[in-house]
Order: sequence, then structure tokens, then C-alpha cells
Amino acid sequence: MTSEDSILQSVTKTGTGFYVFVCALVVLTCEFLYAWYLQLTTGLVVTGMRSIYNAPNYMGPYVAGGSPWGIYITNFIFWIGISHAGIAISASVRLMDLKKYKVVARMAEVLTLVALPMAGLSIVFDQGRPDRIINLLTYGRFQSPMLWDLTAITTYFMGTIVYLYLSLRGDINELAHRLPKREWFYKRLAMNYQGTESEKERHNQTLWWLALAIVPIMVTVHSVVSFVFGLMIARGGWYSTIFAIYFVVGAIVSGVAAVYSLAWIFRWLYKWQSIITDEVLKGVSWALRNVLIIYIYLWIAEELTTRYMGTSADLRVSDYLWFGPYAPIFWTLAVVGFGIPALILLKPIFRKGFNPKLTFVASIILNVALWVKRFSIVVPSLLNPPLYPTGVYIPTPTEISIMLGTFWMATLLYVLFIKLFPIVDLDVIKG
Amino acid sequence: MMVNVRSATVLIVGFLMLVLGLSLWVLGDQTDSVVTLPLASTGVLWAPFLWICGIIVMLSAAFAGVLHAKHYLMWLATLILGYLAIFGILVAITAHLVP
Repeated sequence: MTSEDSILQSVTKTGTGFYVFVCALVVLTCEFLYAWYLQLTTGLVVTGMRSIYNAPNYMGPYVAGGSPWGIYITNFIFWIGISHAGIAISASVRLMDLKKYKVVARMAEVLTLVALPMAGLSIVFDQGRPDRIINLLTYGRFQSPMLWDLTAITTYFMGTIVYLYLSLRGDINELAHRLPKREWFYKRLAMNYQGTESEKERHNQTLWWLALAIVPIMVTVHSVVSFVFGLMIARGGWYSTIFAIYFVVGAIVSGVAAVYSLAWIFRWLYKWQSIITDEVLKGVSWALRNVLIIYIYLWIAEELTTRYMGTSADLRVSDYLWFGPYAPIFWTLAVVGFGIPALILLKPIFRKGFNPKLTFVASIILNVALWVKRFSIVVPSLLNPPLYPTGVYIPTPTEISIMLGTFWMATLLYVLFIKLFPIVDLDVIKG
Repeated sequence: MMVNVRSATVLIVGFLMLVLGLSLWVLGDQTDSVVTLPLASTGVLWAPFLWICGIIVMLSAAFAGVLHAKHYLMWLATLILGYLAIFGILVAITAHLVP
């Protein structure tokens, strides 16, 4: 089997395992849809989210409240972070001409394409009245970071579609010739692409300029996500000058970790050891290690500043995380979530030998840890509002089902994509 | 050369739409002057519409350089209508379910 045939086996060959996997995802997605239906018809009361105080009456004594934001907003930040990987990695590969890593570029691009809608949906889930979402446009205020978010995500999403189509067009044309049964579909989608040298050159030039434009958009997207929190003076733990870069670096860590996981899974699934070589995986893990070190450094700087000279509101949230009910989550996160992956990724510096499987485990741990980290940023600050007693937040099964639904849908979309298009650029294989 | 001119023209048109949309929005937000503009009297939400379309048109400049005019317009329409359809579908479905 040639390398090209090997790459195309994900499109051309469909085994029983594929149907079983897709059926399982469809069933899980239906379960999510039912949970969302319940939330829409009953209201946000089916979630664990509550107002910051639940006084029995307006003038009555304050009792412990809850958190108005929970796992939906956590999920939103997580998916935005994942989406960073895609075009950011692909754009960096193109701009810096890192030919070796082009084999993982498309995996990353598709990740952005499926992650961004999931981020947007997470916001819709968080709304009590999603039928009024259009108000975000009609009554939006430009002073609000929420609207900056909408602008940045729209731009990033549209940029991703344009970028992915242009990078995919040559392969679509190739598929039109190779798969006669689906020719009508690919031919229409290729839109008169001839594959001439001048056409390829023009596509490469356009993609280079688009990549140049997309890198600052990518930084903007996660910076404005951080501004939703960082520009709020009334919440302990959020009002921080470091937040934008902290969020951007966190997003790069989760994105690169996700790309490593995907590359490893594809390599294992389709036996692509000669296509996604150890050297490529090692390079991605090297990038992951470096951004992880920067992230841990920023985290320590943030904690140190708060513990040393934080305001009373900041210290209250910090105490809640360090010594309070969230301490088990916080310290597990620090030791298992970040400490162990850091040790795994640092190992090749001290001892020779790179272990792709162990690094895969580290990349999975990191993504789980980064989800929990976002949770520990969002919820504790809302549970400890100034002037009110500390509240309680426990996500309900309905809420968890809806949150998990984004993962099932993202996986389903990704799987459907690889059934229609090659996940590795055929031009890379041709050299 | 023609390709570059076409891409640059689309980029500039998109940028102007974005600035126009933003200006109308800010004017409408701070003063009543937007009400006197002929665009506002049509009852269509021109400011956010122009702003969103401006972003999409700017990004579509990449398509303008590599696709035939017919295909470019098809893509542009798909992007704009597809984006607005997301809002439309969400509102239509949830409005039926939310009590």
C-alpha cells in the first residue's frame, strides 16, 4: 500500500468498528438532546446554577447562594482553548515553513472547526432564554467584552472555514478522480479546481497571507475570553492584568495537547508510523513541554501575587481554593494534573529516549486538567461574592449530560469529516 | 495582477462595510442621529448586519483571489446566510420550546 492509499483508507474503507462507534455517538448525542430539551422546557432550575444569594425574601437574612456560571462557561473556555490548536499550529507551520509538521496541520485545522461551534453552543446552554440570543446583536453594546467575544469568535470561525477550504481544495479534486462513486460531490465542492502549478502557487500564496492574518485573530479570541473575567473588578480572583496572556498560553497548552492526542490516535489506528513519525510527535511534545512550563510559571506568579499582596476578596477566593472545600480539586490539579505531565514531558531532557505512548497519556491528563483549571477559575470566584456568604455549586446530571453532549457532537463531526476528506494533506505525502 | 486587484478590492469593501456598521452602531448607541439616517428607517438592523457582513467579506478576500466570480459569490452567500441561519434556527427552535 502506498502512502497515499494509506492516507485515503480513512475515506475509502469503512469497517464495522466505525459504524458501532458512530451509532454510540448518535445515541449519546440523542441523550444530550433530551437533556437540553428538559432544560429548555423546565428552565435553568434543572441545573445546579443559582443566584449568588438565595435570600428567602428581599429583606430577609442572607443565606448561602450558588454560582450563576458553572460547567457550561467552563466548557466554553475549554472549547475556545482547544480551537486555538488548529489554525494556530497550521498557520505557524506555514509561516515558518515547518514542512515536517504539515502532517498534523489538517488534524489541527479540523479541530478548530469542530471546537468553535461547541464553544458557541456552550454559551447558548448557559442562557435561560436562548430564543433571545439575537438580542446579543440587536441590543449589544460595544463597551461589553461579551460583544468583543462574539466578534472575535465570528472572525475566527469564518477565517477557519476559508482557510480549511483553501487547504483542502486540491485534495477534494484528487478525491473526485480517485472515487468515481462520489465524483459528483467532490467535483462540485472542488469548484473547477484544475490542479495546475500556477493554481497551486496562488493557493499557497493566499494561504500564507491568511495564516499571517489568523495568528493575531487567534491571540485576540482568547484574550477577549479572559476580558470577560479580567475586566470585572467585583469578583475576587478575576481582576488581574496577567489574565489575557494566562488564558492565551493555557489555550495553546490544551490545543497542542489535543493535537498530540489526535496525532497519536490516528497513528495507532491506521498504523501511520512512517507518516506521523516519532520525530514529528517528539517535536509536538517539545512544543507542548515549553508552553506548559510557561503556563505553570504564570500560574505560580498569579498565586504568589495573590497570596503575598492580594485584596481581601482575592484572598478569600484563594483560601477557598488552597484550604477550603475546593482544596482537594486544587492540589490534585497541581500535582496530578500539571505536575505529572510536566515530569513526563521533561524526562527526555534528563534521560535519552522519547516515549510516544507515555506522552499521549500526559496530553490526555493535561486536557482534563485544563478543563478543571478553567472550572477552578470560574466557579470559586462566583461562590465567594463580596458582601455575601460563601455559596454552593453542584452540577446536576442534566447539566453534566448537556456539557458532555458537546464532546459527543464534536467527536461525531470529526469522525464524519475524516470519512469524507483525508485527514493528512495529500500534497505532503507526495512531497 | 488582476487577482491581487480583485482580492484587494474585496478586502477594502469588507473593511468599509465593517467601519460603516460599527459607526452606525456607535452613533445609535450614543445619540439619536442614527434614526434620521435613511438606512435606519427601513426597519432592518443594518448596523450589526453590516458589521458582521464586513467581517465575512474581508475574510472572503482570500476566496476572491482563487475562485471564479460565480463560485466566489456562492461561497460568500453561503458564509453570510449560513451565519445568520445559525441564529435563525436557534431562535426558531428554542422559541417553540421555552415556555
